[in-house]
Amino acid sequence: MTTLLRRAVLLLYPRAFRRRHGAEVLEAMEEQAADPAYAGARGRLRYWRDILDDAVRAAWRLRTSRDGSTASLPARAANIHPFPTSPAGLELLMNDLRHAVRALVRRPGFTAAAVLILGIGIGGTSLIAGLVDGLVLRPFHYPDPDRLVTIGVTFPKMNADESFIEVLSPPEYLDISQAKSLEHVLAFDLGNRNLSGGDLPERVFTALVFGDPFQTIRMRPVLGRGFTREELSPGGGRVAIISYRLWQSRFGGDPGIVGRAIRINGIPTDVVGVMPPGLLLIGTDLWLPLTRDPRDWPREGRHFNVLARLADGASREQANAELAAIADRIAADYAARYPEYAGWRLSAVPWAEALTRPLRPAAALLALAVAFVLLIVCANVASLQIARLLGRRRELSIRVALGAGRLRLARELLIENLVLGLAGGAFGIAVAWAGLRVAVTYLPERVRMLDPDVGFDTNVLLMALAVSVAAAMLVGLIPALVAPRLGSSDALKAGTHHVSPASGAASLRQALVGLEVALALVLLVGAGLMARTMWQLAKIDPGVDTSHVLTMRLTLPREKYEGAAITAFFDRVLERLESSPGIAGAATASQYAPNVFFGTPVVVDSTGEGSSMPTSYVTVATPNLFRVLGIPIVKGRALTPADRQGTEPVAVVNESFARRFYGGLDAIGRRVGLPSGEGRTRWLQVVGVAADTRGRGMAEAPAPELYVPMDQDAGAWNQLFLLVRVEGAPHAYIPTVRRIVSELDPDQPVYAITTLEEAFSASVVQQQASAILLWAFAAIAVLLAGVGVYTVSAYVVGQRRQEIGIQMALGARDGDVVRLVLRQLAWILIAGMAVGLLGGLALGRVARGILVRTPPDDPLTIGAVTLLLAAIALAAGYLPARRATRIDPVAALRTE
Amino acid sequence: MNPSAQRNPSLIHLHILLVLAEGDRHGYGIKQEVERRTDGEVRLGPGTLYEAIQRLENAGWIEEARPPRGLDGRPRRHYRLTKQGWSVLEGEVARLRDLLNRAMALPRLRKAASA
Repeated sequence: MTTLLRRAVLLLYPRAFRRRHGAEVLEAMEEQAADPAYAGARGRLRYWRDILDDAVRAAWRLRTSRDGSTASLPARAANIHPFPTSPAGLELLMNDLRHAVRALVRRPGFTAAAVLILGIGIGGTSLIAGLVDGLVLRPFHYPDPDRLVTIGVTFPKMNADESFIEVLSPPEYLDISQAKSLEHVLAFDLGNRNLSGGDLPERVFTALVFGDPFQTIRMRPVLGRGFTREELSPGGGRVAIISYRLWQSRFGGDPGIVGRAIRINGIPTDVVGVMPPGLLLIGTDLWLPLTRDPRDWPREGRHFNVLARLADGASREQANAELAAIADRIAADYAARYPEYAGWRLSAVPWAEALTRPLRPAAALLALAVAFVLLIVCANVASLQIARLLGRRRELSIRVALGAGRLRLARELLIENLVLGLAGGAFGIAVAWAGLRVAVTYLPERVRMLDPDVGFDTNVLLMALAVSVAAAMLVGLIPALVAPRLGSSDALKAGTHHVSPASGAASLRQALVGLEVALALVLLVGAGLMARTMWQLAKIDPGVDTSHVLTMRLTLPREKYEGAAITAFFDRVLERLESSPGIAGAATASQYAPNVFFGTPVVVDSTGEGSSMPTSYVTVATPNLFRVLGIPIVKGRALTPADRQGTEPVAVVNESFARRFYGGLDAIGRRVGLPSGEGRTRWLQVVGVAADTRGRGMAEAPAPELYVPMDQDAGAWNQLFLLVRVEGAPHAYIPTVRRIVSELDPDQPVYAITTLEEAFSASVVQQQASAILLWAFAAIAVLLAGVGVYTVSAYVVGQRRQEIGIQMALGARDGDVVRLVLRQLAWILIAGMAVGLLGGLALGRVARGILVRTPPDDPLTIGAVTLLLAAIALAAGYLPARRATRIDPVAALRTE
Repeated sequence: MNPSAQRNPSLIHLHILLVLAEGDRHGYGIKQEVERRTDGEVRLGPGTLYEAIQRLENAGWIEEARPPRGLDGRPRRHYRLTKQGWSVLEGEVARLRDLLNRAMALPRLRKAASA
């Protein structure tokens, strides 16, 4: 690829120069790439900027001053220009520029249309590129982001795919730290802490860390320092690092914050450092050191994330090889006690990539789609240009006859298009700039929480400029190639209307329209697949009644609430809520659809799953959860208030659980084992089967889930959700809930307030965004292709005016005339659609990751959009053909 | 022939001639040497470098030299100063020395040069 690019750059130079020095220049480009100044991703960008800058300047000088070629050495031997640009060259350029601007201003309609279309194409491309760049390719500011890796884990025994967030335990972190190819290995757990003192208690998203994060992410604190070894070892002091955002918002950017004590979960804690701007670890605002020895944590307590830097000189392959060996060693040592270790895998993946992996399918799809839009735009403007040239044939011929060089004509056109492209680019940049500001506000909360670096920055600007120039070249090259031939002298000999009807230019233009039709079909297939996906999503039953439910989260500090006190607190909150007017019911749960994430291996007394370990989501809840969310019980009973501490431990399973682990057998009365630390198992009796819910969001099929009564698991969870079913608009009840909580504990914050409906629509935001954008892209594409077909049809009618006139004089009917015109269009449409179908199938494969219940080659969708496009294209072709029937045969023949 | 141009090679050309005056070199070697001498102040991208070489060749001031023997790696095109190149360089140096002498006659500029 790189070599290809370099060769393309070489094409800028005059041929003679290329012959003599091409190989050397290529070599020099290669050698320059090895310069350490160009290391890293940004370095590569700089490299290409420098190379291009150098090549454009040198090639310009060579081409514009007369001694650039080696053609006749002796005659030009010493004609060396001391200055980089010869005055003659510059003057020529200014002339051309003036000429181009004049030509464009003379045709304001054409110019406005071209600038508008180009602007939409360039703006759309830059917008998507900016989003993809900011969200997926380099979302964070870490230095050397490619070498900051996280450790992913795969447990084939538990059917668990590679995952990165909260997947490792502290003892496993110690094992991983032994890898020599990794340095500054860091483990952190995500949690919430309450920050009190000041006006309002606030819950703060917190990372609890083993190790000094600043060394790993390789950034300096804005104020203060990182954690010291003492602070990180057992018995270390109570210290904290806060985010830049928290420093600004909560402490007003107080420069004396370091050394001050703040109250975290009610306990005074010294601030030792302030992080740089940006939320550097998954949106956390507070970093606290973990001082308990990692060895003392349970091996199966996998709720940590591991980050590390690749050691100097170590490659990711080396790190992965070492991790594989470590995984094998752990499996050999511990698989007897922890069967999930059998066959498990560890992998080092760049942190940004791991975090943004779920966004990649949509990103790839949209990037591809917008590139197609840009191509259509270019084809459209190019074909407009050709149409213009066809109209200017006589003028061109005259100029050629008067001695204007054909090369000069071509250069003029190229420059004219460059001006056009840059004007379109300027408009497009405005579109992208405005679009990005709007788009950022529509980012889903889950993504915005990561605080990615999305916005209109120099990179996007450079990208937009590059796209404009590329588009202008693409648009300009084609007419420039055609123009000299158009200027051939036979155009002069004949009457205006009589020059050879299908010259190269006309058929080139038809090919361009064919290309537009093809690309429009590709985009229509994408739009159709997304439409079907949205339709399928709308049909899916979420399994819960999403309307009128308000949800929020509470984290009770362990320092204040222990064991049964947690249950008691929530019981009181629920009691007061349920007696408030307008509230139909309230429940507490550790998680709820569509955000069910906590799962664990379970032991079932009859497993249909062979040797693999059954796993299930486990939700701790109060009995009225089923009533509040509207989850039907299909068999047995729901949980009841009678299921408390001291009575027989029970559980309700969902249908997927019953089906997967009990097959056709009755689930009621069976026993399920949950791990309860130190390898012990807690046994529960299944008393009911609940209907499935879309626990992982609408786009994912239901998975086994187990509901456990909160009273029988008292104190295990201090971070719980309140779910409140209300009458009317859920948001109206936020003050009520806040008041009730603060009456019970004024220091207790309530956060993550949302409605169940919002939570569900957030779970399909990728599909939604892709659908809307693809529909818009397809609409633009179809419109442009329609215009293309229309103009070609009109051209055909104009060309065959006399023939049509004769045929009509001979008695041809309207239908015959229309057929005559459409027949000539038919091959363009058929060829375009055939290519478009192939492209559509390819696009479907790219889209596969976000399609729901829709095969990527869904024949129904593809058939429907093909017919739709055919109908639109035929209609666009029909209009001029229809007008042809109104040609007056006498008038048409008179022009002869 | 354009005598005025011949007496006025550009700065880049002058640097290249100067490097070649000390011995034959291949293109990339010239670039590295020029950049090293000027502490990177004069940067020679691939295009600029060979454009200059081409012009100097066209002017007849440098020519292709036989690559030194016994060199490992690929054979590379080397360049050397021609007789004409030498005389241009000598002329240019003399011209610059004149310029410098004249500048040194002014006390203020003398201070700047010695600082």
